[in-house]
Amino acid sequence: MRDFVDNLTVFFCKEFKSFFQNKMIYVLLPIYLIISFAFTLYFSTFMTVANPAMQQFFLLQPKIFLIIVPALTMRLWVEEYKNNTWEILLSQPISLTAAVIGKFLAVWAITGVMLLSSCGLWIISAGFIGCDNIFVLANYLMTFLIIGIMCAVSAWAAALCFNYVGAFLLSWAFLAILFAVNFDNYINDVLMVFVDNFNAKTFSDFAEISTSLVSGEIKAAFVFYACAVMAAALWANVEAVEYKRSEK
Amino acid sequence: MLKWSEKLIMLMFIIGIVIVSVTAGVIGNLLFDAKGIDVTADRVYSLSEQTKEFLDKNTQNLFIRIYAAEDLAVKDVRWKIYLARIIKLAEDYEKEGHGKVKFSFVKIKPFADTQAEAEKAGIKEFLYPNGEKYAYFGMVLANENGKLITIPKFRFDDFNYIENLITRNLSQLTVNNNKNIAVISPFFDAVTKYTYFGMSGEWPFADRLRKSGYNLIALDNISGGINPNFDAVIVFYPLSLDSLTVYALDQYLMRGGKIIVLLDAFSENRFADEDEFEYISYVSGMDKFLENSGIRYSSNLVVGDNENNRDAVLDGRKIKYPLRVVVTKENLTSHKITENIKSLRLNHSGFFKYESKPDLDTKVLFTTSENSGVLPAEKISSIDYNTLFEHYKQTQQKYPLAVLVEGKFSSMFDAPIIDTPEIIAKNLPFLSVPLKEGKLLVVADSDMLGESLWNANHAKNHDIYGDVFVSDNLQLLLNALDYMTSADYVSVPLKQAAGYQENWQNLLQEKAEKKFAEAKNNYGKKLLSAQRKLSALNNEMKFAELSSVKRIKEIEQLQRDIERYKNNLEKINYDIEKEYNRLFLLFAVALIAVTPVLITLLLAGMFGLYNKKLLKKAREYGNE
Repeated sequence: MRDFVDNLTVFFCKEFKSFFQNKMIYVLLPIYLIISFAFTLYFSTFMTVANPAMQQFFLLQPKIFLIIVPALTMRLWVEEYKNNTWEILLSQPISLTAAVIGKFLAVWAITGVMLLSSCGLWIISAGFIGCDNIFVLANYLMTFLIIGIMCAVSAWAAALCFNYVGAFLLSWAFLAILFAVNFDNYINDVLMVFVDNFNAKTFSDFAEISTSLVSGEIKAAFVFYACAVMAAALWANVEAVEYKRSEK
Repeated sequence: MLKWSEKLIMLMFIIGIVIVSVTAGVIGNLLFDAKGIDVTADRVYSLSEQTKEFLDKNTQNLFIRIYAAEDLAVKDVRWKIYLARIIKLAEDYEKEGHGKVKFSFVKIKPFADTQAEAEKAGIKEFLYPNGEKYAYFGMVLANENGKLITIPKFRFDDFNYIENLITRNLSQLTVNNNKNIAVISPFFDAVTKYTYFGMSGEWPFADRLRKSGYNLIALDNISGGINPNFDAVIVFYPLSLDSLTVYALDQYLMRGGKIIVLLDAFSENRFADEDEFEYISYVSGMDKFLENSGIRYSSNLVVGDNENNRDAVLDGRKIKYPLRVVVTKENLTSHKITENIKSLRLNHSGFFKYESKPDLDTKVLFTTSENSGVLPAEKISSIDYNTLFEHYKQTQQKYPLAVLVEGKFSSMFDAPIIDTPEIIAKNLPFLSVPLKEGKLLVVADSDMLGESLWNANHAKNHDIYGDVFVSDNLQLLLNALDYMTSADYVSVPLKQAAGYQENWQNLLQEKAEKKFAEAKNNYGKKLLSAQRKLSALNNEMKFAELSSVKRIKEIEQLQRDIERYKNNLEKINYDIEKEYNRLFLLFAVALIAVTPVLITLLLAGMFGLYNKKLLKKAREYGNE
């Protein structure tokens, strides 16, 4: 277990630093902040409605990270494939799972840094118009969780490609599927037939879950959903790298 | 190009993630159902302490039944969220109800028995937003004796008010009989109907009091006195009350009566005679009655608050208007009546002076802030901002706006009034010494019950639920009645009410207006003065047999001046708009352009420092 954690830490640190070393963060961070603030001010009702928890800002975040996350994850495995470092990596006595989780955590942490850098809006809003600070903090955490799902799915998709463009597009497509696919109505229809007086529920509608998580009530079912999807995507990521190795 | 085997693998992965996400959703729902953590400051998603306390004390069996169209949740995601919220709330009531609260959920199918049952209980149908077909979504609350209270339909607007509604109604079901409240409203019929500018309906505050467990009875004819069995009497908008009414109120108080008086300084002064610059001063007729309890009401002065107020549009301009007083939490005294009150809105309110009387306990319930002033009441009717503020005096003192007096009142009369009707003399003989302790609450503004001062949804839905509260005015009256009548009704504090939050647009607009306030006032004054002169000259010309050239030139000059001032005011308005845009741009640039650069530089600096440190360490190792 200790080795696993050590390996994971090494991968995390290496990957996290690489975002600074290859200057990617210095490009993506300003882009993220500009898009994020511009959309919040110009394309939402942020200015005109009472906003104790800055919901208009948080509701936009999953949509903005739909572009940012694939850009961050596209190089996670492609770089290893290109430089053939993954062959060396996998021949070492290290756990592939640790590598996958370490890389995923690094990307997730980078999105955390990005999200954290938007705190300026929170600070000035709290100073001038007043905020429900616990609610805002919870919204930051929940948005981070939602982005975590996106990072896991995107990292997995990126592991299936050998080039940057392919990895970006595939990651984006997977995230788009995650957003668009909604089987809730079908599941509800089936359950309504079998369960007496069943009331329609939200099961896997990602868009609705991401909205619900920043509405002031953190539902355990949705947190479980987020963790489960993240875990499944990470498992699929490990399998995808294994598959790629076997293919080679 | 991807190989077929690769495509297949990818497809399997996609199907896999979809299956996992659906399974995770289903398992999550099965394991945790609706469990969650409420992170809102007002605890919007949790039962309040008041509700829990009520449920702890409740000994009766209560029933909550939600009726919803079978396809309500699948038609619109907002209804789905709303329905889930209401169901969770009802489940919480059941959970906290110690087995005394039973919840059931009924799906209404078209033409089925459930539809007839819902309609019979008073659930109202409504159209889906797409206009497709009729839907149902309401609630029926009942007690073990079969007494029902129906919420005919829910609206999106009252999301944060539902708990208040349910708890209040459940507490009403535990009370055997509703309380009877007599209403004396000499100016208009406040109880039975609402007629105003051709519209008619029930007065919203009267309607809400009825829905909150009070029977309102209009006391138009006072010749029989006031029955001491009334749980309380509301004197609303008293103008020129006759001596018999005052005598009846006095004797009601001597018999342990509870009286709430809502006065109005503005109304007492606003009625103009034929010449609109002269005002007839009405009086409430209650001055002596109040003085007898140690309260003096200023009906000639209207109070303003420079610190807590609301905007008004005067002369086509949006201004900070101190006469629209907002009472905030800091200016409320701790008392059962002011419990749960966050903010009150008053318009052109009077104020009180008071002195303590023996045997009476006097308490001020709320005041203006210290940054207040007064204005002669008759000046308000000029509706002219500049004249109005010429007369406004800043006094820097707190003005009491509501006073509660409790105890054994002494009669203001030494003997029965001469023209006491026989029926009163016989049934309610004169008392000079009190029989029981009474309660008297006086509030300095009757406008506060006007719906526009407490409901953002006003004039939209007089017949159904769906209030969006912008102040606690109505709650104050309910609290006062609950306190005065010792009713066991329960009120829950309003959660996240719309009127309590500031927004960025208002903040920037206010700053922009402030910059041009002086110039705007100047031109406003000049324009008004010119308009008055012109009107006077025109009047003069009407009666003059011959128009002099001088007068005509004067009129022409004034017309030119008026045009110029109007243009200047328009330009100022344009400048304000420009200033607002400038401030917004500044805000946007600071946020969109400056912040990203600064944060990126900060990160780069931090990483640079970290690298330097690492390099230094490496060198040290090398040297070693």
